[in-house]
Amino acid sequence: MVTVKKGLGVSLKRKEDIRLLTGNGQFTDDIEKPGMLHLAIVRSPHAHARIVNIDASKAKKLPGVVAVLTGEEALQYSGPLVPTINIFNKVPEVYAIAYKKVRYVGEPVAVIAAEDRYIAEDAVDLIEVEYEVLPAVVTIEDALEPKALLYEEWGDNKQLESRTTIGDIDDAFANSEYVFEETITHNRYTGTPMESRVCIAEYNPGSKKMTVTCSTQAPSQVRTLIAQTLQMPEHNIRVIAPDVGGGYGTKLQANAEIIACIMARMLGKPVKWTEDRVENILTGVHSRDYTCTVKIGFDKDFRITGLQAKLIGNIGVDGTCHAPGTPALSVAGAYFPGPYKVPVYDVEIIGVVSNKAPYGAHRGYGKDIANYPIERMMDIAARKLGISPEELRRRNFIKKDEFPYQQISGPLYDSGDFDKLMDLVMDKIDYQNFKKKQLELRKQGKYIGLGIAAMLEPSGAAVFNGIFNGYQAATVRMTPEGHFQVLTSHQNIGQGVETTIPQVVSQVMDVDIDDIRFVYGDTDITPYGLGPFSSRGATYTVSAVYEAAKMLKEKLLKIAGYLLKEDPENLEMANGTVRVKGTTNPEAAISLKEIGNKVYLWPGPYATVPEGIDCNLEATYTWTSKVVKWEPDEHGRVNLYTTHPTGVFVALVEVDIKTGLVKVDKFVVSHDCGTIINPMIADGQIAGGIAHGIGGVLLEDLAYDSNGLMTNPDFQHYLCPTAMDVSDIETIHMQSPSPFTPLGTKGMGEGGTIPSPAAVANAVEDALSPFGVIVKDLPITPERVLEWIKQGEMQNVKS
Amino acid sequence: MKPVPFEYVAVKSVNEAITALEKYGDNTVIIAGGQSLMQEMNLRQARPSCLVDINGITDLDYIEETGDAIKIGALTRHRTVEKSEIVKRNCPLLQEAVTHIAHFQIRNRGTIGGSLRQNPPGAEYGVVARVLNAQFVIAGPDGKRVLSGEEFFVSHFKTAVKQNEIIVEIIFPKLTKDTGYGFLEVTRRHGHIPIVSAAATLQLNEDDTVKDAQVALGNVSPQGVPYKVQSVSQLIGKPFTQEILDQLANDIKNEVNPDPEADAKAGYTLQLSRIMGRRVSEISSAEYRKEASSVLSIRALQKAYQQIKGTFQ
Ligand SMILES: Cc1cc2nc3c(=O)[nH]c(=O)nc-3n(C[C@H](O)[C@H](O)[C@H](O)COP(=O)(O)OP(=O)(O)OC[C@H]3O[C@@H](n4cnc5c(N)ncnc54)[C@H](O)[C@@H]3O)c2cc1C
Repeated sequence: MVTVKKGLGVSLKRKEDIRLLTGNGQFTDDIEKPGMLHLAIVRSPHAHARIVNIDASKAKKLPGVVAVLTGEEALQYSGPLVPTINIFNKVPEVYAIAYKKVRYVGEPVAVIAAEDRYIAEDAVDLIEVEYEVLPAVVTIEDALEPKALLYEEWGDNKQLESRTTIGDIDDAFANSEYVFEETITHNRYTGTPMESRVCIAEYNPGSKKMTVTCSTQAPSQVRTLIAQTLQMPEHNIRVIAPDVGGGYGTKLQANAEIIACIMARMLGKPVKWTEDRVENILTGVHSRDYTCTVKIGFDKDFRITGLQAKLIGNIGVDGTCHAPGTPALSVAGAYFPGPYKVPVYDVEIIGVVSNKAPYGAHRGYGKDIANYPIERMMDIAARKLGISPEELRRRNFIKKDEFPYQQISGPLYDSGDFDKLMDLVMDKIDYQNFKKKQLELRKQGKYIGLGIAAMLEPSGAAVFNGIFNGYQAATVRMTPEGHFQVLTSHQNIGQGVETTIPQVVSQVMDVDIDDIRFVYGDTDITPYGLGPFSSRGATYTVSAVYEAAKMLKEKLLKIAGYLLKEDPENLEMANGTVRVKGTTNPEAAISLKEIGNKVYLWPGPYATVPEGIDCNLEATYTWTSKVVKWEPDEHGRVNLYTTHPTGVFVALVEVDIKTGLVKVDKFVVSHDCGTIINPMIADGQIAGGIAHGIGGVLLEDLAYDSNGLMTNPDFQHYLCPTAMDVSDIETIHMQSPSPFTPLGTKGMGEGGTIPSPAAVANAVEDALSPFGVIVKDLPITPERVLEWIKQGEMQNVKS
Repeated sequence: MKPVPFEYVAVKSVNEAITALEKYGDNTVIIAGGQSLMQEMNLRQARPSCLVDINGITDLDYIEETGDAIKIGALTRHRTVEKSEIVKRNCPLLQEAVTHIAHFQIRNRGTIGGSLRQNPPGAEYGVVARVLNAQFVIAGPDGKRVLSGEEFFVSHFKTAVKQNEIIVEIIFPKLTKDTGYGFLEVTRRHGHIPIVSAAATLQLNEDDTVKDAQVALGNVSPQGVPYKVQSVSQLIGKPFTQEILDQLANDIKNEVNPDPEADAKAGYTLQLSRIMGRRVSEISSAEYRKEASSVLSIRALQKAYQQIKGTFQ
């Protein structure tokens, strides 16, 4: 029997996997162009310094070197980097190649084009740069002091500063039964895509056309940024993104890509720059790195009376022009209340610049910052209140019948049921039994722990002022054979869109997904639109595709009605044909292939298409959200996210109290992302997200010393988790369809990453509760665990 | 991530290797599995002008049993050691240790000679070689010499092997049937270089008192060499009790003397663009490593004890 692969909610195997797993993928670095030159970048070894002099004479003499370009020389070809996004933050004057000053280790200082990468790197060794070293601003304290100014014209080191108060917070705390305050910090880490960034730029001096092939998440957005930065007409720029080996948010900008464009324009020859892993870790956009002081009040029934958060993020050199990182802090500000009902809210946000690499997007984009301190705080408070962390959360959850829920901080939550999610996960782990086992094992010197973190994943951001505004067009096209192409700017970065998008169309057209191809990755082909970020695929792209498919279907039904001499209202699509509803009579049906053939070829459009219908067998729809609210209210509140997946994550860990080693034994997850398109792919996203979270909480750390030098700029020392370090993961799904998208779908690519660090940290505290351990700085290293145990023991002795 | 230009010579015998090392100048080095050297070259932490590829010296790839020892050719891959019946029968401690080295893909290429010559702080082979008093056979222009572990390891990433010499063989004494053993380490990630590694052997007298006990530790000595614990000798002649282990645990903490500054000095190095890079090593506080040394040593001895008693699960 042949099974037809179609529809939503089905775990169809990923269409793209055959290509990728058999080595037939084509990534940017696989592409060779005739006469192509290769770039290597001279990078700053200093965190903060003035460039006094660059002597490239020796490098220029090296056989095989074609050109050397400094930041100053590059000014002929390019302006400063333009803002990717700007929500009320300061915009620095910065360039793709440093001009006058370097502000982080790894910042490009000069670029070499040579016949191959080997020669280009040999030339790097020959370029002599004279620096006047300046004091390095490394920590938040350094920045606020200020130890030095990154941008003298600012007068301080703050890129972002905001405060929102809703209600009287002092009054709320004064009238609370309990008030707790903690300062919670998070390490700096990043997305580490399997494929680093790569860019091939070609400029044709005759046509003045620039073609840029690069590993990006967002071809249209990159095109816009290149046009604005290079001050070139955008219609002459084509951006191609072939197979992309992951992005995780780190490929949403054009900064290094600009360097390749400058060189191509200057030389009139194709150039390739392939970022190596060290370059990627040193410069490829960072995230997290904050301190957050949370103050929370409860009434006598343990209901939240007020929430105050003061967040200070260490942005690094910039999070606006180099990459879109700074607003992640503002997103956190909008989402600290998370899954809970908060009557009074006060939030202050400061983003300081420092001599670390640029701040960008990374799976979570501030929703993780909103989650970690609060979910940690819920556990700390529960312990102090003497109730279970489960119960404290339940007392404060937004209830199922309160959705759509207007959160105090601005967002409108679409749908969900946190209590049910908690039930599902608690049933699965058998909480009471676990607690019993925990006590027994302690007697044997074994320390296991269970950590809960509730999850809210705002997905599908539409942010004003920049290239992340929620614009999404899709075209669905039928070929003469009756098959379909779907064209959007939504890049495949490994998230399964070559399968899920056809599933959406197959749902409308009732055809096999093998007869539908998702076309992406070329701005000359696809409609303008944004790429995958903010888990927006199942919110925006799916909705646009669905609406476009419906429009095309309507047209096809009209044409079929005309050909079958039937009222289109009586027709339906079934297995690649249009037929009279419910009929099996072949006379009352016409295949899509026949329609395609008739309209395009034999005989052609005349006499096959009824009057008044555009014979073009394609439809384009640009989907916009009905609930996005950009006009700030009196408190400056807006609503940027349309859908909100929810979940409860539980981590089970074991801690060796003698060595401090933490082993994550298992994650149990209940998850709700509305209508599920492909459950297998959804599970994969959750698992990948948890791997990211485990990395961040236990292993990964972009570590800088006090001079601003990174101490672990390679994969031997920057520790990503491997498959061996990620626990078993069990996921239970429920579905509360979103009322704000046509299919009820919600984006869900970040939900695994958002709560898993808090779940692990809470589990470690639970395991070590006999010692009164409080998890402090991340990552949780064996050394820190022993320190905390000691501190806890000392505390116990004192009290 | 491209190395500087270098010459390349493939050799087929130890003599050819030595000749090539002499002929092509001071900056000529051996390449074996390349699992340490290639990454250092690609990062431009290492900039050899000539590589002598010894992978063609097939007669350096062997594991042989003699009366009271096993001899392992320097070019033997980690994976071969791991899978070897001879090693399993005669030196199971070594076999257990090897499974902790990196990931199997790396073990398929990396060689015992390369690992010992590289001497990254904490590396498993060095610790086992030290605890078992292995011997190192080195060939040079003047013939062969045999070194003890004490003589072989000099400091972080340094050994007594000269530029024009090649390690040809490592001789591990067999473990007697009545010897218990244990190998343990703390690593931050599966397959990662350890923060501290520990190997122990134990023999008991008929009356259950300790006949012999040895412990070696990785990444705890200020010189950056595998460290042989002194205070473990206090066990000899005594019953293997919790009390004496507690005492030993304490003594080990006081005895070992990690030096994070020395580690950092050896571990940080310049790479491409004169950016500060890092040679493979874990640096953590002296305090933590003292703690871990003591915990791992005791656990390894306990494991050895349970093995002798047949109670090890
Ligand atoms: C991801 C990763 C993880 C790793 N984890 C670990 C780990 O946990 N523990 C561990 O111990 N190692 C680890 N390693 C290193 C690995 O074990 C290497 O294989 C080993 O250190 C070097 O052996 P090689 O044969 O590859 O030597 P090469 O890299 O070829 O050479 C290393 C050095 O030894 C010299 N050399 C090689 N053979 C000889 C010889 N016969 N005589 C004299 N000099 C010689 C070379 O000149 C060079 O200086 C890891 C490596 C990687 C890539």
